Amino acid sequence: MRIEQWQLFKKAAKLQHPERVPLSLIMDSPWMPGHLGINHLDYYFDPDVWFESNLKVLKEFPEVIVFPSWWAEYGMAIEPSALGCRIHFAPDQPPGQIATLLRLEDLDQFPEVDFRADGLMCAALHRYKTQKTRIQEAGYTIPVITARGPLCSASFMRGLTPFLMDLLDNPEGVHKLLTFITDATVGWLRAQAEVIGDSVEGVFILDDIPGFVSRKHYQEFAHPYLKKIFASFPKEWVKVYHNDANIEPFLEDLADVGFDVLNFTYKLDLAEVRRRTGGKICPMGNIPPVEIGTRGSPQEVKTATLELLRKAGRDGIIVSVGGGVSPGMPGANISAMAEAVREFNSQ
Amino acid sequence: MGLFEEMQQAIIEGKAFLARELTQKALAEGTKPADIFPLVIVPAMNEVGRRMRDCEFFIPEVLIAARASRAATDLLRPLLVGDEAVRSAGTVVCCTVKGDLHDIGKNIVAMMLESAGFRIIDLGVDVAPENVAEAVRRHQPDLIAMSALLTTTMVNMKVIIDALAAAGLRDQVKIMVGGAAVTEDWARSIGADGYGKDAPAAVDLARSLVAA
Repeated sequence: MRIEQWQLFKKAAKLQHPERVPLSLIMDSPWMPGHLGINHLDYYFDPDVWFESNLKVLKEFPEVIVFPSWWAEYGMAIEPSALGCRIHFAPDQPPGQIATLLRLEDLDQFPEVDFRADGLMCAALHRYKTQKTRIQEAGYTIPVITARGPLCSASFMRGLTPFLMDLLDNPEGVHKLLTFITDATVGWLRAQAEVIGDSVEGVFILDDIPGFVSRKHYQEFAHPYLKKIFASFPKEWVKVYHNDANIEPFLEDLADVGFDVLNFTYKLDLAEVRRRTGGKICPMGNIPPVEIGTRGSPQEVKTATLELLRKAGRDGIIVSVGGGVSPGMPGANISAMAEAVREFNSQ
Repeated sequence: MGLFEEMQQAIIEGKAFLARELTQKALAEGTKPADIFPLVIVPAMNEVGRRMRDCEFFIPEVLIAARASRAATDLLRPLLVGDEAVRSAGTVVCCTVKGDLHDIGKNIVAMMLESAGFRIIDLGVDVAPENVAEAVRRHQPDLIAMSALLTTTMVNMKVIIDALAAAGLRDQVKIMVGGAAVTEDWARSIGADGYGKDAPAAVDLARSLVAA
């Protein structure tokens, strides 16, 4: 994103009456290589392909605030790669993660994570280090550091099914695992901030797994760890949380986590999210990413976006899809969203 | 509380060791293995399904209940003889589609279906269309249950359905789909026979598709 786009995003995030409603989309590797007709492996491992791809998308959609902006990512593989998972790459899709922590007790044998050297953390930091000047010279900024949340990483380490059973079988072991991961996540985020430099003013955490559990389990296993991560960074930073699973059982609790922006599922009503979070959070959403975003016509996308804006009003909304941009979302549909937001802003 | 009620309770509360012990006790007291399914396993898992529908149970609670159910059924299946051994509600091939390594939805549905008396052929995760076609040829299932957690991978459900059609197998089997990103509209648009919004709904759907 450009600096002025970040200023607009920040204003909306902090509920400071921005001069216009921002449109921001999470455009990352599940979508980008397919849109550009390139190979995922080239996107991940060739820095020039990565740079040119991001630049091309930014130029194609100049009105869209691409979030989190110049994201050095490898699907969801960065954190698990440093936490001992086996990472499985393929040319036509983001990599998968294979769990290796077969027993929770084995965590005691795990070495501390070296945020600068382990797995794909090293690769991502190198990408930021070598590309940031080029990005700035092209007129863009990298204002946000990003990580998967603690439950997401735990589910990669243990496997999702065993991890969810751990919550009931071995809560003490789960707390130990989540403490380990939370500390690693904060360290990893700080390492990014250090490498990227002064442009960083925001933190973005993605974790869908809390959406699989009860409110009681959310409060015990997710809330304190998410809160600790967000509290590790300056209060004035913009803090964004993505969870497009079922957050309905614990919506009220989310107001206390310490983030400013919530990117959430289209299955929840925007007004309900605002009401139950006490109006303290800026919603980022929530056009259905597949049914409308990917499979709808440009006219349907435009209609849905205008309808969302009509309900949301001008303040305290960042227009987006309810999640990330799905693979196959046509460029014409992204342009239709931009057209709708432009029309609304000009009224 | 009678023994059958205790067994049901153990399953509902996810107490696998207790469920196994009580099953052994019931067998020792002369209960026929085949009777334990309708008297204990099915009602217990129906109650688990109800609690999930009513948001009293979430995925972790369902997983440990299904594990407890399996602890009991693992003990019972080898003891079934003759017609009892082959009688099942139907055969279901379960898989998570290619590109998706998430096993959670598939596992829960498979375990709940198994508890409801279906025979399960679990192909695992990241399953290619040709492997599904091969499983249809080999096992002649009544149903295929496909799961995808991600919007990035749900498109591969259609690829599998198309591959079955191309292989001339589509009409031999009913197809149901589910997963976090999947919706009823999506299921309809890709030519699936049904959509299960959660595991209990998937069990009801499987029963109705097999009966149709």
